[in-house]
Amino acid sequence: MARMKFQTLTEQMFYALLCLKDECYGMDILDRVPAMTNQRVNIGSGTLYTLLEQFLEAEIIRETKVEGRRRSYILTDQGREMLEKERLRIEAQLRDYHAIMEEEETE
Amino acid sequence: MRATKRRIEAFSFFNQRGICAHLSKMAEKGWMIDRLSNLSWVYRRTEPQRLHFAVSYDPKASAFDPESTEAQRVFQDFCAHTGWELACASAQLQIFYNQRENPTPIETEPTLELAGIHASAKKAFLPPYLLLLCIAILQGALFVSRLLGDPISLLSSPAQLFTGFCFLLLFLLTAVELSCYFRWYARAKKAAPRGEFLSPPDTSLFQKVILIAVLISGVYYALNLLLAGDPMRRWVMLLMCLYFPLLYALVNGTKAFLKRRNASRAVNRTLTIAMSVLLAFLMMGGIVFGTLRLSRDGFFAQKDEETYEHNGMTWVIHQDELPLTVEDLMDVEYAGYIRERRGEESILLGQFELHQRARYDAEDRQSIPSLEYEMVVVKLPGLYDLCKERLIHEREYWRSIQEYRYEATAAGPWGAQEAYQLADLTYGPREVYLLCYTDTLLEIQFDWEPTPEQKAIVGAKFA
Repeated sequence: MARMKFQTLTEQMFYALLCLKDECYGMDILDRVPAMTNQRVNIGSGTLYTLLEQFLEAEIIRETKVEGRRRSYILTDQGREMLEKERLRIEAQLRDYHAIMEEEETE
Repeated sequence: MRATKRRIEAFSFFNQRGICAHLSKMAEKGWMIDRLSNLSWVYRRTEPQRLHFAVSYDPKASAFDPESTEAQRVFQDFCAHTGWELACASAQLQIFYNQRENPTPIETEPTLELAGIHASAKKAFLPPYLLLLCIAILQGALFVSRLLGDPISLLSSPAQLFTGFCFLLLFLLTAVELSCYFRWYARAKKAAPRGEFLSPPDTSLFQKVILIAVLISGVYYALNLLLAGDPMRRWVMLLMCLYFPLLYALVNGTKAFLKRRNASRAVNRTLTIAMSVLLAFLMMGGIVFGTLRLSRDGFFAQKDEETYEHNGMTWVIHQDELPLTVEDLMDVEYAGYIRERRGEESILLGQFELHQRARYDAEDRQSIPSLEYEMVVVKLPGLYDLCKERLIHEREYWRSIQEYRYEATAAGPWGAQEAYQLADLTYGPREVYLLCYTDTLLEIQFDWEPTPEQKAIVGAKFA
């Protein structure tokens, strides 16, 4: 059921997982996502908290360090695979977009 | 100037948008939410300021937790990172505020937000409301059953009417809240995958109307009891007014005490529930037995009441006002009559049993005329026919239909609109009459055959 839940990632899920390509404190994701998207995407603190719990349960990420209440995470192989599938899906969409739009232009 | 104030707020559990908008307004007026209790919200005075508020739902939290759990503290740290500070928390509800101009909301994913609300509702909102709805329906069924069985007693009793009205209001409140919730949740679930969070409906006005209706009916009932109730009922009402707040205070006090002692959630919940059951039974038992004991000892007897002894028992010499007496109907020499009036009345009906009889220790008691009658005063004209039919057929419910029956008789001599005489099918007509006047139904029993003059006197008294 966890796999089915994350079959398609929302934008917030995508960027949260992208931040965890390398080891990262959970809380730092709140700053990194707006920075990497030029303030286009913001994740709510409550939403991020819930997503990290769900990612852990689905074994998409794993905990690497616990310092008091600060925890850091990193993608698992399953998580990298999921992110890669999402990349392929987005690229396929982009190709389809270009194909259709260029077809219209030549017409 | 006060440093804190309490308000009764009427927001649905799931109406976080309404709650946040209200708290923002209060903050602009210089009142900051400090804590939530079951009955009221407490605000503390602060500098007026523009604040953003957010409500977060934690399904894993409990009202019995001694303090914030580790997971809650981590959540609060996350929120603080984006400027959201915890204002207060109550069980599954956490209220945050933010001083930034345009803060990123705590929840930015409608699907997750909705799932959190629903998970919390399944713990904190749905079970108690469903239980209350079932109780209200059950009480409603009992009320209807009593209405069909004995409508006159029910509708003339302020206590039963008040209770029935309160359970009707409870039914309306729980039914509306639950249907609003499920309707909203179904529509919100469809909207969430599109990235849209559907605001819940605001039932605050409806809840305030319910509350006002309860208060008004409660005041009416209390006034009725104070002005027209007997001493024992007033005593019981006073005790019940103390019972509920005291029970509430003791149970919540137990929970708060155990929280301060850092008792675990399970221990706190178990002990608090055990205390509430034990206290409820003990206190109610005390009220019941204490009241019966006091009644037996004559605590509720009117101070100027006379009594007499007969056959080892003490009898009160009642001297109540009766609208019709034996002396009105005939000349009597006996001066030791007991005149008793019992009954109660509501805004709909009054039902009274009136007796005039000789003392049990009177000489030749059997030869002293007595009078017994029941009066039903109909205040709501729509109930007249219901009461009349009930009285006509009442005796048929007590015994088999073949033994007693009211049969129509001449109403003119009585000055009544209709008149019925009780017929014992074995022994013939009895001197028991049901007389129907404009707003009074009179069931009167004579131990002699009334003359036309006596019938006219009865008519003059009640027509």
